[in-house]
Amino acid sequence: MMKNVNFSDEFLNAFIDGELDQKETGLILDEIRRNPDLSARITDLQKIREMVRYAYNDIDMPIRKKTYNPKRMKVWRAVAAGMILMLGVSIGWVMQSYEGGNRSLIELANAVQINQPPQNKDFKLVLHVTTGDTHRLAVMLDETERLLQDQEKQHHKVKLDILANGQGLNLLRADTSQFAERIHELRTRYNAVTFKACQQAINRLKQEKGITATMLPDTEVVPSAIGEIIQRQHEGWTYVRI
Amino acid sequence: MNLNPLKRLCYERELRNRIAEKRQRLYRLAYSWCHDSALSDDLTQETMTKALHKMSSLKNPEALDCWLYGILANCWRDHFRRTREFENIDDCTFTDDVTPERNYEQQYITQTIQAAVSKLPLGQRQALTLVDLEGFSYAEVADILEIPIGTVMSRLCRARKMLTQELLDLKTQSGEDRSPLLRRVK
Repeated sequence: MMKNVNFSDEFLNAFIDGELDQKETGLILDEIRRNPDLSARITDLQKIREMVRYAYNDIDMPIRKKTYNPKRMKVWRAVAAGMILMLGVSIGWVMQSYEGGNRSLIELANAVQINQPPQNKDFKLVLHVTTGDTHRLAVMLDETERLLQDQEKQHHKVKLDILANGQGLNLLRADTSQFAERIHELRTRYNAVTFKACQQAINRLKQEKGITATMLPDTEVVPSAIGEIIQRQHEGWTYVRI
Repeated sequence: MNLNPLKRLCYERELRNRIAEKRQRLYRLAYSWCHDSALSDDLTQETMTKALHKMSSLKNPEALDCWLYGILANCWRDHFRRTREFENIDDCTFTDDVTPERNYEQQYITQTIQAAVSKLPLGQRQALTLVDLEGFSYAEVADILEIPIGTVMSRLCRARKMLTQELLDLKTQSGEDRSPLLRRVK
């Protein structure tokens, strides 16, 4: 390719980039008409410029999860921290009141085993009480009563054994139980519910602490809580441990 | 700039929006310099962060582009210093990680051009992309890169010359080599 010696490459670049003044631009435009080589050089430079523009025209940014303004972020952090604090306080407050409120059996339960086939509408449940916690016991009795009421309304056959051993024995001990009246009411009102105490646990209390435990009048003593549970489970009872 | 608090708030808000709008263009320019998606993203992010932190140092809002691309150039320079301390960035020629065979096979003109640009020395590449992609004047490029305007012109000139050889002369040569498809046979 013949190069025009009158114009430097820098000058031609400046021409295509619009960096020349009117006089210089006019000079080149005038020369282009007479000089095909000059025209070709300028065309090549323009082509290169267009090619570069084309090559980077569709560069897309990778998607960022989040962009943020650092200053604004500080404000949001403060707001978020405040909200978390509020949430913490609220949860604490709710939990505090929650301890004194109702909780379902499932929430209380340490273990659940369902042995009943789903099509069987008869409701048989053994509640294995191993805790002496007064609050938990109170909730358990509330839930038991609610359950019995519901089943009665729906005319379902229901059987419910409340079986105590270990610390749970406190529920049925005449000397320690805070629920003697409540248990009596339940027993009187619902034939379906029985309260059973484990003989093994009574014996252990005698051996370890020298306490001769007397059970509430509404309590039936069974030789072994574990034996009773196994028997019930064989019979298809649902097992919930409190 | 002395503004009352309300006006200052509006001004800063507008400036923040304007800076945010430049993100894609900053990324494109960073990509044209390093041809590395992750690095471009990092450089863009760093530039944006610095710009937002240093908004008060922008004396003339009209010169936002120059100021912003200047920050990008500094970020890039810093990155380069951190990673390749003992080389002159203007003399450094990047190796082309996209092979010509691959370009030929895939027929991607974009890749061919990008490969040619990536082979330019960094100083030339910066001058070229600032002028061609971002449309900056030579004087603005000189400000952004902190070099004399004559250097901008010479770098740009050399860059385009090299690209012409890489992209146009090659095409001409292959055209010249081609034999005529039809011959008269007596």
